[in-house]
Amino acid sequence: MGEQITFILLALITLLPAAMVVTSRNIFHAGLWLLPTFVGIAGFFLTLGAEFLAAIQILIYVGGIMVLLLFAILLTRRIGDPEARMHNRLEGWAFIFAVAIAVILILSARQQFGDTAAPSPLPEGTTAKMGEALLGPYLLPFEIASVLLLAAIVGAIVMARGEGTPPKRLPPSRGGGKR
Amino acid sequence: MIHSSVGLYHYLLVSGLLFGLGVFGVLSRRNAIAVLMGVELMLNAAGLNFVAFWRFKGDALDFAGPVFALMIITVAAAEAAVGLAIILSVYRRFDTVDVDDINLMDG
Amino acid sequence: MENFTGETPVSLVSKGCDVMLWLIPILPAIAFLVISAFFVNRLRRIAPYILILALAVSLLISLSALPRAPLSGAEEARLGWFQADDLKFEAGSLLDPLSAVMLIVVCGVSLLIQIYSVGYMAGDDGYGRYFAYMSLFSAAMLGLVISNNILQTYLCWELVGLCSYLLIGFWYRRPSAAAAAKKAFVVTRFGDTGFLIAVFALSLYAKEFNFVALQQRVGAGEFSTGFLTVLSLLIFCGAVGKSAQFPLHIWLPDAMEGPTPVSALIHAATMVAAGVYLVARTFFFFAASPIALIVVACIGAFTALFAASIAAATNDIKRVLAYSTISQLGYMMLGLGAAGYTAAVFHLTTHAFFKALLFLTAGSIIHAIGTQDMWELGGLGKKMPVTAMTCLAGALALAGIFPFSGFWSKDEILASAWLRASANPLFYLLFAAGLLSAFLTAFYIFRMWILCFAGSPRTQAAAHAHESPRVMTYPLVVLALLALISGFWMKQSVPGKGLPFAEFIYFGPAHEGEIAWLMLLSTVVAAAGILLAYLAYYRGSISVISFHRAFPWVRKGMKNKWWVDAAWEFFATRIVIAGSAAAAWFDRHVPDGMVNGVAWLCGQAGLRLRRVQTGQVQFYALVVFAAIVVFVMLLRLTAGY
Repeated sequence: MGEQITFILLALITLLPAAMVVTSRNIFHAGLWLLPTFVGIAGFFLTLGAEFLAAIQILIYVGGIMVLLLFAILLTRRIGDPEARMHNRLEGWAFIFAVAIAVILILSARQQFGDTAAPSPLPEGTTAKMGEALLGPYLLPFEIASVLLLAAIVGAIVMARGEGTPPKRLPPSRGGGKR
Repeated sequence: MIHSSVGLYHYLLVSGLLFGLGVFGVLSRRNAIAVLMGVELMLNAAGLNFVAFWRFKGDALDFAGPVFALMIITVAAAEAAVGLAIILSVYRRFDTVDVDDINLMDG
Repeated sequence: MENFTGETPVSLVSKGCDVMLWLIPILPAIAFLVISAFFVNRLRRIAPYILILALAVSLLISLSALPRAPLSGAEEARLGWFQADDLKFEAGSLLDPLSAVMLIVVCGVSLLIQIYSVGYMAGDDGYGRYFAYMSLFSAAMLGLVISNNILQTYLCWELVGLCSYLLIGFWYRRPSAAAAAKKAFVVTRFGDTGFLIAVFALSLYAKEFNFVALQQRVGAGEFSTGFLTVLSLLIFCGAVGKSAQFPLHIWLPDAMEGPTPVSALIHAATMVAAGVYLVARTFFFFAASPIALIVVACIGAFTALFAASIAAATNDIKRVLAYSTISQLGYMMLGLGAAGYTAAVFHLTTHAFFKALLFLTAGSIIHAIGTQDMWELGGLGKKMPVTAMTCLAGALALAGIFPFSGFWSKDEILASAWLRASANPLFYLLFAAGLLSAFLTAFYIFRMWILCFAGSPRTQAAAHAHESPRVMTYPLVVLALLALISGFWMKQSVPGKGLPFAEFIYFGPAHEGEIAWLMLLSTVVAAAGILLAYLAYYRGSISVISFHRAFPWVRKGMKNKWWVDAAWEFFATRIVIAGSAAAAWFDRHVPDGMVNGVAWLCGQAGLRLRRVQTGQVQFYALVVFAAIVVFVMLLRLTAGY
């Protein structure tokens, strides 16, 4: 019983804020709504038995990525512009297909895995086991990930430094959108 | 909705909904950073999927699920860094991050 | 040049003469090239003599060829052109009795007319052009006569038609002449189409163009009667057009717009005779098909009567002769249809002489006085004695009075009809038509002669007429002599052969002989016609006006040429042009519409599809997701997973 309640709670704190993320008018608020979502996912990782992963999720996503996004929002905010337009003109179709994708995924899952019941048993000390996996069979992805991060850092620094050209005014948007 | 106990299907349900929300965000938001947020949602949903499958199907001793989810997190971080750097460059150039306004093409 | 002669043994002399046979059409062709190149403008006084020289030589060669003509079979010379599958395309010459006689007629009459033309066309601007066209015509006509295969005949046939067009419209600045030339060409086109289809049919089913070969195969019974009937009728279409039979006769009266020597040569003696010649040449087709023969005879008889009736009401001297030509050609067709091959060919030769003569005398009158309306003439007998006498000779020949040539040939035709009637009663009717036409023929030609030469002059111009120059009157005399004696002479003994005509030119079993009472009957009928003309126009005893009051529709019909021209005009303007308009509309909207529609479709597609390239990444991402959804749906619906 407790299991179900936990699950429902986690689901709610994951999905409802996620909805707010994509519909929030204020972009800073949208960034903030990411927090419960990520935390919810971390909770799911815990219930699924991947503790290490839950910790990493919070550390990296919440502590790193979300903060980074918020900083970027602050750096790119136009002073005095109430950001009237939120969604572009594809809003309707996007909604339809997003719903369609979700429906497909859910129905397929239901059809295939609707009857799965018991999870497999966990070994003791999954974190240790995970470390062994990372330095054992999955060593290569681990190392490549390091290289990837190095490349990302270098690239980000290069691009964020700027070139010193003054900003250019664009012609008014012809893309249209919701007023 | 929940029949007996929490099974694989329920996790997949959550991840599916989360993914759908992410798609909506990616396709319909005007602010470039908001698009990135949608991408993060999608990536999280995928990670959740991996771990759920690892737990319910397959060998719990083979840590492929969590390792992959870890990789996803890593790549998401790198991507966020680089992506935001690009957005900042664009902002400096065009003085806006509205994707519909950043358009040099005619017609 | 190869030489296939089959049964007839070939001597060295013959071999040499074969080359010479080729020269007959080649010489006028060379004359054409020479005249066109050099003698059209400044040196045009010399132009006619080149042609006259060429024709004289050709005539000599033709005369020398006559004794050589084999009595059975033919002497051929061939020049291969190319071969496609089994079908041989070649140029060749064929010497047999028919072509030998025709060659002499064409060369002889041509020569006399060209001499006459020197006087008639003197002073005309197109003097050189005239003789150039005349030489082309002569070459083509001789090529047609000498041809040994139907394709060459067709080629020359078309060429002759072209020359007719050029010469009818010789005075091209006159709108009526241009219209007449066009009419001639278009109307004969109708007939030529049938001929062409026949040529196609032969190339397809018989894979053979050569006359001798075809005759052998027909004799061997290789083709069905149905096929031969259709083939004959198609060939006859060409003859109907060229020989101006009903209903394609309408071009010939209008063709009188051309100079009178042209009318004499082309539209009396030679080109229009080509139709009859063609039927005679391909007679082995017709002989195998009774239906075709009946059609030929009926059209011929009807045309003979029809045209004679119109001639009796015409006031233009050349038109009288034009309708007369149509009528006489109908006689020849009647002869052929009644299986009187000999009679028809005989009449062809005699008609060439006396009709050419009549035309040339008419030309003499026109040249002297300048009018063609007979009611403006009169009393010319005293002023132009040579013309009057020669014209009288021609008239007597045409009317068929003993012992002139026309008597013998016309008689033969009537005899053939009568004899055929015992096998097919229809020919009694055709015989009666022929007899009635003979009556009308005598009537109208003497009406013409009396109005022109007898009585007293009706206008000033007629009163001051004078005789034509000698260069014009000498040919008249020669032709008159031929008109007088050729009949009797040829009937008894063809020169160079020593055979009666009937044993020289025939098809199938030899002709039986004359019918005495028929000779008497035809003379009586002709005399009656002459008498009627005399009484009506000379004495005035019989009032023409009261006749017309009693039978007004007769006059109306004759005056309106029995409304045939009107019918053709209706057909051409309403029906054909309406059909053309419909076809044009269809062409604009359906094939063009399809092509334009494809272009429009491409444009529209491009216009719409261009919108896909928005340049917005989110749109592209949307398309990706949409595609995923669509594929999943498709998979679900078809494979069901």
